[in-house]
Amino acid sequence: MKTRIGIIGIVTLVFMAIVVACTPAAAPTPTPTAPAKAAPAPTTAAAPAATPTAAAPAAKPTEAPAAKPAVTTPIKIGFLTPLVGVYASLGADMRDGFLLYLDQKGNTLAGRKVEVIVEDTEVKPDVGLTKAKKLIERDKVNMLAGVISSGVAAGIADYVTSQKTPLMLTNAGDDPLTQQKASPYIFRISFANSQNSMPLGEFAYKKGYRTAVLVASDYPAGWHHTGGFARTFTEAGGKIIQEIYYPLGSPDLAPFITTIKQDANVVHTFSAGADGLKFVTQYAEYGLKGKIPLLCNWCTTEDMLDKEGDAAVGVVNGYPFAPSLDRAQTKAFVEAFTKKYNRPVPPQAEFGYTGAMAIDAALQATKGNIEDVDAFIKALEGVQIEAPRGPIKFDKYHNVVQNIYITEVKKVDGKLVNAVVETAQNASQFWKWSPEDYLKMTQYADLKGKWVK
Amino acid sequence: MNFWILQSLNGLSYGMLLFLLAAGLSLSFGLMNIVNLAHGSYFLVGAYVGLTVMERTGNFMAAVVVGAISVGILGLLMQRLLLRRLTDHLAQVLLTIGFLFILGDLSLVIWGGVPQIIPKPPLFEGPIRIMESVFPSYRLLVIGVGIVVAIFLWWLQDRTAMGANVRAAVDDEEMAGSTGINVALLMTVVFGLGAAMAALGGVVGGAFLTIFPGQDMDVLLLALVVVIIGGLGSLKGAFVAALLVGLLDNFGKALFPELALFTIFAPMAIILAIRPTGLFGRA
Repeated sequence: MKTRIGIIGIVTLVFMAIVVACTPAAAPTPTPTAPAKAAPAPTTAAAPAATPTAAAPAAKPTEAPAAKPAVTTPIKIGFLTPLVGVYASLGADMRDGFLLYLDQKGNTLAGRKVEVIVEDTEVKPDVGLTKAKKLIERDKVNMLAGVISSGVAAGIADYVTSQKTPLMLTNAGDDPLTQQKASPYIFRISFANSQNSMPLGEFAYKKGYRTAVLVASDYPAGWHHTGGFARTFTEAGGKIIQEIYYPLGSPDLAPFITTIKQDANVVHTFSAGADGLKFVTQYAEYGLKGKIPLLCNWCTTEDMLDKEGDAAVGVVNGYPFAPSLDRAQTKAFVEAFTKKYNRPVPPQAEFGYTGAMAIDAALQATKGNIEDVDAFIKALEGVQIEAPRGPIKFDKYHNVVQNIYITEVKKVDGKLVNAVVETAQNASQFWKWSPEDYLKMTQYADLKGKWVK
Repeated sequence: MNFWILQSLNGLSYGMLLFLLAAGLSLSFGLMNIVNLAHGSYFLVGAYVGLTVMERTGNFMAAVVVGAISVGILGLLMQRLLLRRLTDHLAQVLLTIGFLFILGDLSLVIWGGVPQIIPKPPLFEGPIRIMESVFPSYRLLVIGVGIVVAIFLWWLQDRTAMGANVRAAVDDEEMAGSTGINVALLMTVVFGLGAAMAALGGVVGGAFLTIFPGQDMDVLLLALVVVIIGGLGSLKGAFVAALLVGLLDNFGKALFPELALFTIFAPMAIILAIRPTGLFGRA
């Protein structure tokens, strides 16, 4: 019997080690480096020439490039995305959005064939880094794109910069990557985490809410999203009365949801993917729906909305894209995505699609010469697009400037939709502050746990 | 007051789920001396089969029954054809961990990577009021199912001839065999029953915990913790330990959310230090 206990003990220890090692949460926390060297020097040269406005997403065949491209070998793009784990659904949607655009262009951008190599990050920073190394060193890709999790993005940022490989982030919103730790090689077409939530904090105050509870998955994206909300909400005069952080991908959120203070005016959460599904359904199961209004970032994206069902009705969300937008480009994109993949269109699909659009625009401007990395980056900096989500461009820290939509889940003809109730036009990652003032403020990672006064 | 009632019920419902999961593992290890690391896969595959049945028929009972039976048969086959031949623990670990990966990847191919949730039976969709607090009625159902299964197993083990045979075989396999008990058949049946219970847990749990790739490893770890705390081969031990772990996990998360992973492993270490055979295990 003794040996048996020994064996089962050893086996358990090994599994503990595996599970702890695989816990996606704690990514290397961004160290507060001096913001001085941060901003990549703003491009001054030849800006107007390099502002190609990409065609509307309607599947227009690319016109033959004016000049023959210098190189004719295929362009290789490494695409990092999670295909298992808490963000598996968002990862697949982001990838398919990216591939949809290339498909519409016949897999040819600026006269060169494009080859995409997809790698699964499993939402784990260490796996993400291994896969990034594999793509750059073994597959010799020209650039990287993708990434869902802020943790993974923070984990690979230093490496891709050291390799001078351009990286187009099509979701991961880790704030410091386009702020204190901005890199000349990293662009972000999706959002900085708090870019989504700062408008929501002001919205909450305007709605008359004065006390709020923050609930978030415990990793950078959670701290940034709730932090942005808390920053503008408390500035307006609101009060944070409780903060709850749960491990990303917790099997059960009930122990956390049941501790929410019942006298709060409003609850704000960052819960995405499977966590969003659990949060919204359990929030209703425990009778909080209808009692305390729920504002969130990402908890009702279209990949989960149908599974959440009526529990999601009335939930308010803040992000840069909703498939219900009344724009020609949005409709064309949603139609194309639905036709090809036959499933709902969450924002991540659009981020992938638009990421490919931006790459295309920069390639057109450089005649497909992605090998000249500096010229390619300069071209990317000048990109302005009429994307499905609205007009977008990059700020000088390489983060996207765009509309942020505040939506509410409504039932229209028996179908659940995120309907836009308010739009923050051309919102930058610095919201109403100047970049200099904003970067002087304490970072969200350090403010976590200190919002309750 | 409210807080304690609510959290206790939460912990109990989670604990009952753990009991369904761990009972089979404890029995197969105690009775057959089989280290079965594929036990977590039974949970996951059961949940996915239940999901498919639920989507096709819309009948929750059918989902539970089909999920449990199909995985029970899978367990029977695994034991009969493969595990029975291996007496070496290392060989068993290698074989079953292989199954863990194969079944996990097969599920990924068949059901995809997107997290799923099994629709609850309509009767148990809403919350109910207990004193001043609101509690999901479905979780009460889970507690009920756990109690019923526990009573059934107790009855099976303590009040039936089969149970007496099982107890005899746990105590001394050779002696039991020499009195005419067909130990080999008995083992196969018990193993299948354990697999079916894990699958039952998967279907029941899939309706409130979501199902996703990688869950097999997560639940296996919890099941091992329960078995270690409860003691090998003891149903009573598995029951008590499962409730203990469920409650500890829940209160730990509610009171110290940032120590969430720590709160179930610390008690395990303490119990191992004081009682190396677990609460109800025999040396």
